[in-house]
Amino acid sequence: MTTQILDRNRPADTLRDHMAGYGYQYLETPVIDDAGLFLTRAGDRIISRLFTFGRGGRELALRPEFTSQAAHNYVHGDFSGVQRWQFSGQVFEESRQSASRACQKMSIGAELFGLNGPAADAEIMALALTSLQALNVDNWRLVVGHIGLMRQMLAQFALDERTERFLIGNLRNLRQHGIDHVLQLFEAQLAGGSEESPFAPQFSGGIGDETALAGLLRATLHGTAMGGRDHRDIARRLLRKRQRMSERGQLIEALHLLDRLCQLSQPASVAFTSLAELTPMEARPVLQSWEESLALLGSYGLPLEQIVIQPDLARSWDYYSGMVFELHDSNSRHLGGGGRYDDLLTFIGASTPVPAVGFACWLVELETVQPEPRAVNAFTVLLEEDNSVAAIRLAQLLRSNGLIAELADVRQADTLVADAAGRIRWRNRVYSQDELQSLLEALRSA
Amino acid sequence: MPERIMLALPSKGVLADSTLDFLRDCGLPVHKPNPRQYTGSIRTLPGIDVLFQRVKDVVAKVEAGTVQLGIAGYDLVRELASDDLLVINERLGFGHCQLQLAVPTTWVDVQGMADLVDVALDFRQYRHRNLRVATNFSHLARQFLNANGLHHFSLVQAEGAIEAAPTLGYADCVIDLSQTGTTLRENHLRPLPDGTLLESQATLIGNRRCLQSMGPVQNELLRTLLELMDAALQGRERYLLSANLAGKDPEGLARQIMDNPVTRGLEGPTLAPTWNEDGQQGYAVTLVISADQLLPAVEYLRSIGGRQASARPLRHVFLEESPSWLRLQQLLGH
Repeated sequence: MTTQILDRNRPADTLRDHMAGYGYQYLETPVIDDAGLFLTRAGDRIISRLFTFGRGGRELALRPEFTSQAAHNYVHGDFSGVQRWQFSGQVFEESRQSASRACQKMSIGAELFGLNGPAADAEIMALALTSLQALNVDNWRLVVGHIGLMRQMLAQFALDERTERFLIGNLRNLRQHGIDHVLQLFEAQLAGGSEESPFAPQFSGGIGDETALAGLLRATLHGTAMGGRDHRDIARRLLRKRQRMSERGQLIEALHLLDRLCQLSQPASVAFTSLAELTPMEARPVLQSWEESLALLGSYGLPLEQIVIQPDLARSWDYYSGMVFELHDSNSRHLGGGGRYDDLLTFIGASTPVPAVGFACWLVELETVQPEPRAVNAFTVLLEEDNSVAAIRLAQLLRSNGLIAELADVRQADTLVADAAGRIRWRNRVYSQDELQSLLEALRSA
Repeated sequence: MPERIMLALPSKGVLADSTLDFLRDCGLPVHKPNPRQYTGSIRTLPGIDVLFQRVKDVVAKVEAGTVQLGIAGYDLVRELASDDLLVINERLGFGHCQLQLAVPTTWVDVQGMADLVDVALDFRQYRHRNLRVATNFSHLARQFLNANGLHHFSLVQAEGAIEAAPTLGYADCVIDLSQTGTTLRENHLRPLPDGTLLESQATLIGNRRCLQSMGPVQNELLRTLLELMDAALQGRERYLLSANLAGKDPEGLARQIMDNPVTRGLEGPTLAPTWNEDGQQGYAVTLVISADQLLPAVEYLRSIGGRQASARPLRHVFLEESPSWLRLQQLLGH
């Protein structure tokens, strides 16, 4: 009579309804899209796992996430002002596990465009956390970092933008292997050529300014193959490389600061005091705004003691520019994450900056933490050669009244039997067409 | 169950003639009745049928199991690698080349892969596009570039003259095969010192499933084929060295010869007494030695009383068992 159904869409449905309650409209995006869209600001780890393929001269990819597509939709779909969008579907990423199933997972999340400030950041974090709660996941842990604050802190060292990105990309190495290791990586990256070569960054000879170097390079144009670079490109790069090499002193100072940040993983209640000591005056407003956004989570009724501040948290996508967060359960399993990415829409083609913040979580992770499947009433309707029309009509009647009906060719004790005259037999009672309502009531209460 | 073996060989390209030369040296001359036909035979091993295919199709047909064996470049074998594609011997000793990443010689600022990673970022920042790499080895190229931290690139596939792509303007650098580097130089390209993806030479490949399900007749054919190939490969690396030594004590001479690894041979020397008009004069020694040790061996024999010496290249050296056959048995789990 009752059956256990594992409704795989139910968590997604629950979350869709939940997010609709916050005003988030459902957005459908294509599974296959231009690879360039995802590559715009993807981190290195993601790029090497993207499924790409070429068709008709276009490089395409299976979507690894929704954010870039949502941003593209906003910019090229003539949207403006505040937009709240939610999405759900399969996303694809090459997995180290060999099973092909591990390469795709169900992702669900939301993006909030056009709204800046602590309230917007808090709204997305709260939406993510209350979504977990809607699936009865109460043992969550929210780990929050801030790429924007880290960049502001690094600004005092006036490093080349590429060196700054190198540092942010190597935070894990810094945490695991220390300052010297990251310094070695940096030097290996910039090394090249013998020290005597005028083109080696270590060369201390007389290359003066860009014009002089361009002149030198023009003289060296002995080949016809340029591979899309002219002497100005080469000159600019050589100078930049030398400049980066000369920043070694600032780099070491920056590494020491980041090292201290790496060690500062604390509950939100105490972390901001320690962070304030490390934050230069000009970056204080960012810190205050961040602290405010977390305080606002209390207004959503969320327990603040489940929040951990990890200032060096860097997510795999390069587009994050402000607050970033990850969602974990009590076993440190990664359930999802998100953050602020104000620069992405400009990269994609927006003429004016558009503030943006969003999150995504993976349903396959959530399925393992959600409660048992529910029990529902299910009935079998006898399907025989001489009653197929009546049997199908009866099954449809049950379905349209919210019951589960299955056609079967074997009669069992509880099977409903419809005859050609429209009568229905169930549990030793025969119901006429006029008695369908009482049949439905009997079935519902069964 | 068919009791024959189909061997696919390259019909065109640099490997075509050298494969036939190699098989002839193995004592397996391939008879091709008509230059336009795609099939041939090996009269010394009549159970083997030969199928001539483009080298890419050799690998594809072995991988699919249409043919059991094939000879192709290791580069292609790695590019098209799959679980069923078994490498039986990746050193057939011909068709040597390298798969290399090369950049225009004008890129004086690029000394290694780390520089190229930086240049790729320049392309993104200033030209708003990816670094374009022309190659026919997309799988190996992607793997190599990612492993070197280069992620922002587009692969440009081109049949034929890959090296011309940077000059013609549809790629920035190339990943291509190079034997001597001449073609790269002529196209104003320079390989990066840490830009070698792999060293390649002709490789004998087989289909795992086909080889696992072979009957006794096919197995014997395969063992003979591998034995002959191994013997020719072993022979290439060795000389038969004969020398006359003065001395009356054969055991003492043998010990002196055995003492030096260069003259120890495969299993020690053969000594035979020599006579002149006055009776026994000394001993003739016969040794199998490594080809690169010929002169050191002659010098050493001189130092222990050697007079005349002669050396002959060996065509076949049969070891106790065929190394390729043994390895194949291991690979197949037999």
